[in-house]
Amino acid sequence: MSAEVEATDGAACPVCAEPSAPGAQWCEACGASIDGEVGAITGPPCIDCGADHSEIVEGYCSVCGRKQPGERDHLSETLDGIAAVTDRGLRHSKNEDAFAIGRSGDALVAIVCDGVSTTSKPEDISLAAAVAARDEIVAALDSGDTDIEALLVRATEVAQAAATAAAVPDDPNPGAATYVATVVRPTPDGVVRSWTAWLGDSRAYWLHGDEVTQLTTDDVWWREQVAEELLSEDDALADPRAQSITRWLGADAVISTPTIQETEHDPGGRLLVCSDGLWKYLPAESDVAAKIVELALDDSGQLAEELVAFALERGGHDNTTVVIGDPGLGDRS
Amino acid sequence: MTQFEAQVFQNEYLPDGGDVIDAVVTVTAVAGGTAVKQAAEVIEVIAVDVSGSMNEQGGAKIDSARRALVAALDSVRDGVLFAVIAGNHEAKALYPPQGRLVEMTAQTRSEAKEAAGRIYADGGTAIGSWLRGAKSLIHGHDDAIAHVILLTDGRNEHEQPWELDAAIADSVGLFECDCRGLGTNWEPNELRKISNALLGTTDIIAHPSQMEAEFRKLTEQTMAKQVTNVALRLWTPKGSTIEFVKQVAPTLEEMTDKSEAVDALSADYPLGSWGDGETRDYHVRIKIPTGGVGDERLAARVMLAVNGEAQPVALVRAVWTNDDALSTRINREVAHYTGQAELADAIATGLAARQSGDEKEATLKLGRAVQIAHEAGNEGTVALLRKVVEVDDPNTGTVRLKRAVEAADAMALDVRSTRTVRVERKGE
Repeated sequence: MSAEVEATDGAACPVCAEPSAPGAQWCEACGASIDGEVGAITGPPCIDCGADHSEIVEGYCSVCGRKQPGERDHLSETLDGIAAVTDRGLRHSKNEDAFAIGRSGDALVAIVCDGVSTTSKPEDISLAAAVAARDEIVAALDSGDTDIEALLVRATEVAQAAATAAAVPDDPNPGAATYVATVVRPTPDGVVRSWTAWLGDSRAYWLHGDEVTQLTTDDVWWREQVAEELLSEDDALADPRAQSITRWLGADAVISTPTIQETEHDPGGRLLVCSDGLWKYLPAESDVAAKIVELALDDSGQLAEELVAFALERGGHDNTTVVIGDPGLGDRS
Repeated sequence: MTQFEAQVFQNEYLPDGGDVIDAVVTVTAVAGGTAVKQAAEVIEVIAVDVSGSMNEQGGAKIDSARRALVAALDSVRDGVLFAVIAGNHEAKALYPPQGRLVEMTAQTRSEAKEAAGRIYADGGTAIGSWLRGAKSLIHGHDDAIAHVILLTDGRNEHEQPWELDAAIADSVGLFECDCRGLGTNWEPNELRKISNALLGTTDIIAHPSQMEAEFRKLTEQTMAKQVTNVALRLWTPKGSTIEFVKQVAPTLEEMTDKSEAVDALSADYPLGSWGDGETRDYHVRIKIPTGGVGDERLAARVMLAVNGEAQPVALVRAVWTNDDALSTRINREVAHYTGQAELADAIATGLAARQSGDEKEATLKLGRAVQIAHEAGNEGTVALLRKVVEVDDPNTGTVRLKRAVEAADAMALDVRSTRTVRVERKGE
């Protein structure tokens, strides 16, 4: 971008007609130059050979062929007390995970959705659902809603509606995503309370020193078979369908009523919400605990980044998303 | 109206430092699209050998040539531009006698059939002159679907090899040519050179009685063509090398040297004309600048260009990984066609060894050919091989050379060794 370009005040973009902010030199919507140089689309050069942005076609450089990073390849966000990181990993061509985090007063809100790769455009479903649920929860908390359980049921319905709306109409294989939403709030009596709603196999954990407690139970085929006493645990786990998820968000969701878990915690703990991109490398609570102790990081953003980096080091087989929420009470050790 | 669809079969994963990507691209011409305008003109020129040797076999050869011409003329639909060349040591305009193209009508068909009945055999063989004759007829009709059927029963004896080469070079891009050799006294390499350059096929017509059906089939194929001047356009990244481009189905045809640069990074490989529903497979191997683990690079953007206008159809990708289980996987289609190329090579080497009396090498190579053809389900090629070798065990490629082999059978194996079978896919 050239600094010499004369700023224009609030002009409509000459290419897409989107109104621009006063003083803007480039259209936020389409990247065209506001000074009337029609068609001057701009953007970052190729990450590999440095070719001009105009050479990037459908995400690939037309000179060296290098795939350009997608917007969602690696994203991080940090709010007061809560941080999230998502990464495409090393095996998938796109990141179908999404997170949405929020804060209302002293309450923290964390949503993680993991798009199901075998469905159509799951990345649209996961993002739409996560953002819709977060917005619903934060708005309700802001307006003084205290029935968190009812709020989480409603937020899941909103997420399900968003997932259905984001799907391609009449798609025979509509996009689907897992869903986990946690609200954490310190209570006046000095403890911390968490409420978690989920569908599928994305997980929430409570971390406290070397104690780790999983707040969710995966909605997977083998567990259902065992719970309904249809198969023994060994037989169910040996079945090829063992790890298939049984609940999800999406236009073809059979059950979209979430399981909800409310838990009281001593002060000093933290929340971890993640997709299976992380927990497949740390399947047991003790594995998570050992990793958290090993990393010994106080900062939520750093801890989230390091957990994602660990998943990448282990092969990055899947999209990986990590949210760390710190209600900020008590002593961590 | 025709449009093109393509599907890429590849293992996109490369190990750290890997830089060679293989892909099989299946291209299909689909009816009903709006993307490509149908060619307006269709041209059929038939060049039939009338050299003295056509008098052999008690006139059976020249008689069957007359009948084959009639069958071809009956298969050319009204409105198509056509001509018939009688070829010996020179090219004579048999019909129309003025030496130009004429539109097929009831009248011209009947006149041409009458002229076909009057051909007689005399003189030598100069195949390049027949091509020059076809070229002078078709010259100026650059956008037409132009097809030549060339029949010879002998070798190119009455001109210099360079004259044939020059005639072929002058004809490239103007028309396509299917070559047929009658009997066993012609030279497969001469005809293959023509058909490869002119995007056609070479085959044997072992007996005169088979000629009529063959001419009818070739003419009908041309009548089914809808679009011409089609090219496979490959964009490859800066710093890369296209190691080869081959057609691998329905037959093996080397295409690497036919590339025509479009710009610094793109080249066209001419594919000639297509009929609706036609499917062909191509194997490309590209050496690209390497990337880091986790990086992805486009190894090729595959496009179909018609009269120079390109439509993108598929992407060939390269993704670097440190997972050996991924990078060592061999794509089924790539493996299949690599095997089919090895099969054609084994037959060619085996037949050459047999010719030169190296029985050990011939047995080894033809045995290997039996084994590959059997594994791939290429039963047509197995049947051709069985005419030349006794097969003791097709699974291990254990064979013995036959003592008495018909010349036509060895020749058929030679010219048909490049016929491939497609990968069997579930549900097909």
